[in-house]
Amino acid sequence: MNAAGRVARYFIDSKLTVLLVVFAFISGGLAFLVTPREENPQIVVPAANVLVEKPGASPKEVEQLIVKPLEAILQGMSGIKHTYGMALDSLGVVSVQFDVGEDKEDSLVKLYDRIMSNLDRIPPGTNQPLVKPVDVDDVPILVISVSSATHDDMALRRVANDLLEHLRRVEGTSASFVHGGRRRQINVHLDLERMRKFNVTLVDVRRVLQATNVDIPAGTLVSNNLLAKVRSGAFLRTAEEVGELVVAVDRHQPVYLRQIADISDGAGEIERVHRIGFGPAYAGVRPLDYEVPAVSIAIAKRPGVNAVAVSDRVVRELERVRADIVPDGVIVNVTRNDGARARDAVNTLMEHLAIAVGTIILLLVVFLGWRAAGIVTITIPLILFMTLAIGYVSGQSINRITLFALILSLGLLVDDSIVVIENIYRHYSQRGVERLKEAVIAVNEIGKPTNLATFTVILAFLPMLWVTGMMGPYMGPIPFNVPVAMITSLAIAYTVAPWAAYRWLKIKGGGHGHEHKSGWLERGYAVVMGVLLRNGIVRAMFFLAILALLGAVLAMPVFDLVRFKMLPKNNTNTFNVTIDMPEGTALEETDRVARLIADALRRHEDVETYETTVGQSGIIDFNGMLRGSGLKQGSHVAEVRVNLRNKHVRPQSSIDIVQAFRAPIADLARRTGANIKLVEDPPGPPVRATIIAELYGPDYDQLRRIAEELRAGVFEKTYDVVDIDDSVGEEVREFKIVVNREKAALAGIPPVDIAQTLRTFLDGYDVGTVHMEFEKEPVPIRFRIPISDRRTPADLNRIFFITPQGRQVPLNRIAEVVEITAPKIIHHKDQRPVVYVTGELASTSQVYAVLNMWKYLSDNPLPGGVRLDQYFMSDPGTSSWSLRWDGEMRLTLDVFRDLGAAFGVAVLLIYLILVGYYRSFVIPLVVMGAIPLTIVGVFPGHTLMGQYFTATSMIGVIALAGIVVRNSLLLIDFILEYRKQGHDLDKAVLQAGVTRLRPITLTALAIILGTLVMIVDPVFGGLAIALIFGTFASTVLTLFVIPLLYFSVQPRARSGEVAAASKA
Amino acid sequence: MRSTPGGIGAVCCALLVACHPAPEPTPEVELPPVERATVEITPPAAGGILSVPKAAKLTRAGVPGVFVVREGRARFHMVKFGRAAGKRIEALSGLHGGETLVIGDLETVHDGSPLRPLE
Repeated sequence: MNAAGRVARYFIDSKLTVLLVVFAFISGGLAFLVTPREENPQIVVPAANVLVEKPGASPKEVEQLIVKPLEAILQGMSGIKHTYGMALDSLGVVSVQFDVGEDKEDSLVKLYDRIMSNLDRIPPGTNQPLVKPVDVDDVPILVISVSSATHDDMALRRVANDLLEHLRRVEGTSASFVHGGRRRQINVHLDLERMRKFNVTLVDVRRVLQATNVDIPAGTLVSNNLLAKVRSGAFLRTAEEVGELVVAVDRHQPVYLRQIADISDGAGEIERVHRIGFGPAYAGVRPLDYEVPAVSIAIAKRPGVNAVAVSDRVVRELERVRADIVPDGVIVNVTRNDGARARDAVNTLMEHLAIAVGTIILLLVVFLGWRAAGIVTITIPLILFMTLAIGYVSGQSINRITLFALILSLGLLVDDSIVVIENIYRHYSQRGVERLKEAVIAVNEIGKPTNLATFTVILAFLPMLWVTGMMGPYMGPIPFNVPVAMITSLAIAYTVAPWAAYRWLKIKGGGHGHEHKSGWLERGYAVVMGVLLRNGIVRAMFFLAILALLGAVLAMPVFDLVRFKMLPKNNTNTFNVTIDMPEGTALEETDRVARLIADALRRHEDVETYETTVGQSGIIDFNGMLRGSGLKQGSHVAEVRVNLRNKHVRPQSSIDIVQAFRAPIADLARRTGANIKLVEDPPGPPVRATIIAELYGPDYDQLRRIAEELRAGVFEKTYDVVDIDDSVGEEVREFKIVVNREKAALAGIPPVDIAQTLRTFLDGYDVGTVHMEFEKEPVPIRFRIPISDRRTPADLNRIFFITPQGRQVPLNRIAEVVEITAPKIIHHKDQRPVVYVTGELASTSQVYAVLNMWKYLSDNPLPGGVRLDQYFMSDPGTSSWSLRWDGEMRLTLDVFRDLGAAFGVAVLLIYLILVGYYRSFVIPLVVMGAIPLTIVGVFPGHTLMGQYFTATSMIGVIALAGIVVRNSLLLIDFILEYRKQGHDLDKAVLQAGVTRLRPITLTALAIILGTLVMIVDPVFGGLAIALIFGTFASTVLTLFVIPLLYFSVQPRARSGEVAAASKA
Repeated sequence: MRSTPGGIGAVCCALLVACHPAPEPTPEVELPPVERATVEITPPAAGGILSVPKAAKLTRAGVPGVFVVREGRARFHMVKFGRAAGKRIEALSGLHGGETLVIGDLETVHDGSPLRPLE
C-alpha cells in the first residue's frame, strides 16, 4: 500500500471524513466572509522624499552641495533600489526607493538613522533635512466631494471639516484630510500710499505685530491660602482688535493699523481652485451651473484593514450625520470609493468563478453521469473553501489575482477526484463485490501517477514566486493559490472522494461503461493511430509536418503576427487629465484651459462627474504616488479627475473613451500651449511613464539640447507615442533685485530689511494667529499688498524704506530690478545627472515604439549630429552621450526575463522528478515533448483573438507546461502498464491512447470551459487565450505525438527487453 | 446537490444585481436663457494692461470673474482684477482680449446659461 492507499483506507469509512467536510465548509465560509478584499494585491514599495532647503542657492550649487553628497550617503544603505535627485532653486530633493517587499518601518528607521548620523556634514546655511515618507497606505480610499453653487469655498471647507470630524472617528480609518477651499484668515491689506503718508514701513508693522500677539503665563500670586495664576500679554481675538493696533507714532499721534491698511476677516487670496462638474451620467441633484466650487474630504484606511468594510462604514456614517451638518444648497457626492471598487471587482470574479464551476459541472454530468459528477461536484467547493481558508491564515487577501488563480486552477483541481472516481468505478464494474476494499485498491493503484501529475503542476507554478520587482507581489497570489489548491485537491481526492464513492457510486446494468464504450472518437483515433504505427514513412512525414508546424508558429513573432505587451490596459471607471502650462503661467490662465478641457469632457455620455484642481495636483492615487505627481504645485499645474459611469452599465470601455478624447484634447493642447496628458490607471504595477528615455552625458546643458532634439526628432515622429514630455523645463522670466550694497549701507538700511520687505510685499506674511476658540483650523493674520499694487516690476518702486535719520528712501534708490532667465532644475538618477524624455502609448504596445526608436537611433545620429549609445538593462556610461530605455520597457524585459527563468527552472524540475520516477533519462524527454506543442496553440490563438501576448499569457504557458506533462505522463504510464501485462509495443501504444482518450479530452475540456469566462478580461484574457488554445492544440497533438515518439524511441532503447517481454 | 455551488453563485449574482441597480442619471438641467447686453473687449496696446468694464465683474461663490460668451452661452472665467479706474477695471490674468463679456445683472446668470445678446 502506498501513501494514497493508506490515506484512503483510513478515511473511507471514518467519521473524520464527515468532520473534515464540515470543518472545510465552516472555515472556508468564515475565511470568505472575513478575509480583507481589495482590487489588486498590495505592493509594498517603501519610499521617501528627503527635502533639504538652502535658501538662495542656485540649482547648480544645490546639486553640488546637497544633492550629490546626499545621494552618495543614501545610496550606501542596504535595500535601496534607486535614488532620484532633483536640484531646484534653494531646494534639493532626493527621493529614495527601496526594493519591493522591504519592510516599510525598518526602511524608514534605517533612512532616518542614516541621515541623522551624517547631519554634521551638512553645509552651513542649510536647513534641517525633512524626511517625507511616501506611503501607499496613505492613499485615500474614499473621496467625498462637498460642493455648492451658492456657498463659497471657505464655507464649504468649514462643512467638510465638520463632516471629517465625524468620519474620522469611524473604525479602520487612517490619514484623512480636507483638500481644497480657502481657510479663514485676517487679511491685512497694506496701502503703500497711506504708509508713506504716516511714515510707516513694512518692517515696522511686522515688528509691532510680532511683539503684540503674545500671552505668557507669568507666574502665580499667593494670598489667603489661595493660589492665583497670572498671565501677561495681549491676545488678538478679532479683526477689529488687529485694526486697533498702534504700529507707529507719527508727529506725536499714534498710527493705528486700520489707518494704513484695510482689514477684513475672510478668505485669503486665491491660490488654488477646486471644482466639480457633472456629466450626462450623473445621478443626483444637479446645480444650475456647469461647474461649482468643491472641497473634498479624503480618507485613507489603516493597513491590513478590509477596504470594503471601512468604506461601507464611512459612507453609512456620512448618511447618518449628513442631515445635521450639511446645510441646504450643499451637494455631497462620494467620488472615489475604492472599497466599492474592490467589492465590485471581487464580486464580478466570484460570479465568473461560479459560472466556471457551473460549466464544469455540466461537463462532468455529460461525461461521467449524474452520480460520479455529483461526487466530484461536492469536492469543488470543498477545495475552493479550503484554499481560501489557508489563504486567510497565511495573511493573503481576496483580490482579483487570487480569484483568477482559483479560476485557473479550477480545470486542474477536478482532475484528481475524477481520476480516483473513474478508477473506483472501473473496479466496481469489473469486480464490485467488496466495495470498501476495491475502492481502496483503486485509489492505491492510481496513487503514484496522480501524485506525480499533481506535483508537476505545482512545480510549474512555484518558480513564479521568485519573480522580482513589483510584478512579483502583484502576481504573487498565483504561485500561492494554485499549488495550495492542487495539494488540497489531492488530499480531498484521497479522502472525501473515496468516502463518497463508496457510499453513492452505483453500477448500472453491469457497467454502462462510460470508459469502455468506444465511441466514434475512439474508433477514429484507433484508425489514424493504426496507420501511423504501421507505416514508418507516414510516421516520419507526420513528425516532419509537426516540426514544420512548430517552426512556422515560432516564426510568427518575427512576422509580427503575434505582438508582445507587458499588460493590456484595464477597463476602469476613472482616468485623470493632467495639465502643465508653461511655468510662470498665472492661475487664471491655467484655470481657463482647465475649463476648456472640462467642456470637452462634460459632453461624453458616460461621464458622471469630474473634479478639477487648479494650482495643485488632485487627490493622490496609487499610480500618481509612484509617478511623483503629488509633488507638483504651482499656478501652472492642474488636474481633472474624470469619474465614469460604472463599467457594468456602460457599453464603452474606458480605453475607448480615453482614446476618443485624445484627438480633441491634443487639439486643445496645441491651441493653448499646454502640456496635457490623459493618465489611465495601469492594469499592473505603475511606472513613472510608459516610455522613459534617460539621457546621460558629460555636459548637462548639452544634454538638455539633446533631449529636445530627441523629443522633436524621434519621439514626436514615432507612431502612437502620445503625451510626450521632458524634464528640461521652459525658459522662465524672473526678476532679480540687485541691492547696491554701498548705497544701502550709506542709507543705513540693512539688506535683511530689504529682503523681508520684499517677501511681505510679494508673498504676504503670516504674523501669528488670532485666538478664536471655536475655529477648527488656525486663523492666521496675513499681511499683504493687494494684487492691484503688485503687477509689474515698476510697482516694486513704490516700496520705500526709512533711514535712521527718518528720511524715506524708495527701493530704486538702493537697488535695481534686473530681468533674468530662471535657472532650471537638474535631475539625478542613481547619482548620475540625467534628463528624461517621456511618452505614453495611445493604443498599441510600447515594445514596438521603443524598438523602432532604438533602431532609428542605432542607424542615425540626432539632428544635431550626436550619436547616442543605447542601453536596456545595464548601467549607462557617462563619458559619452548615452540613452537608457526605462519605464514599461524595462519592466517588460524584467518580467519576461524572470518568467522565462521561472519557466526554465520549472521545466528542469519537472524533468528531474520524472527521471526519478521512470528511472530513465529518455522517457522523461518523451513525456516533456508535449511542452513545445503548446506553443502551436498559444501563438495562433493570440493572433486569432487579436490580442497581445502579455505577461499573463506567459503565465498561461508556464501553467500549460504542468498541464500537458500531466496528460502525456498518464499516457506513458498506461503504455508501460499494458506492456507489463505482456502486450506488444504497438498494441500497448494504441490501447493506451484509446483508453486515455476520454479522460484526457475531459481534462482538456474542463480547462478550456473553466477558463472561458476569463477571456473577456482585458488583463487576464492573455492567460485564458494561452490556456484555451494551448490546451486544445497540445491535447490533440499529444494524443498522437507522445505515443508515437515513445514508439519510435523505444525499440532501439530496449529492443531486447521488448523481445523478452513478448516472449514471456 | 450537484448544481448547488453554481446555483448559489447564480442566485448571489442575481441578488447583487437586483439590490444594487445602477441609478438612472438625472436629466440635465436646461438653464433658462437670459437676455443681457454684451461688450467686446479689445486687447491692450503693447505694454498696457487689459481692462474690462466694471459692470462685467462679479464674484461667484468667492471666485472673482466675468461671464464670457462662448458658443451662445455665458461661461464663467476666473479673472484676477487689478486697479479700478472710472468705469473700468484692470484684468491682470484670465483674459486675452477679444472676448465678448456679459454685462448687467449677473446674479441670475449661471455658468452655461444660453445667452441672447441685447443690443
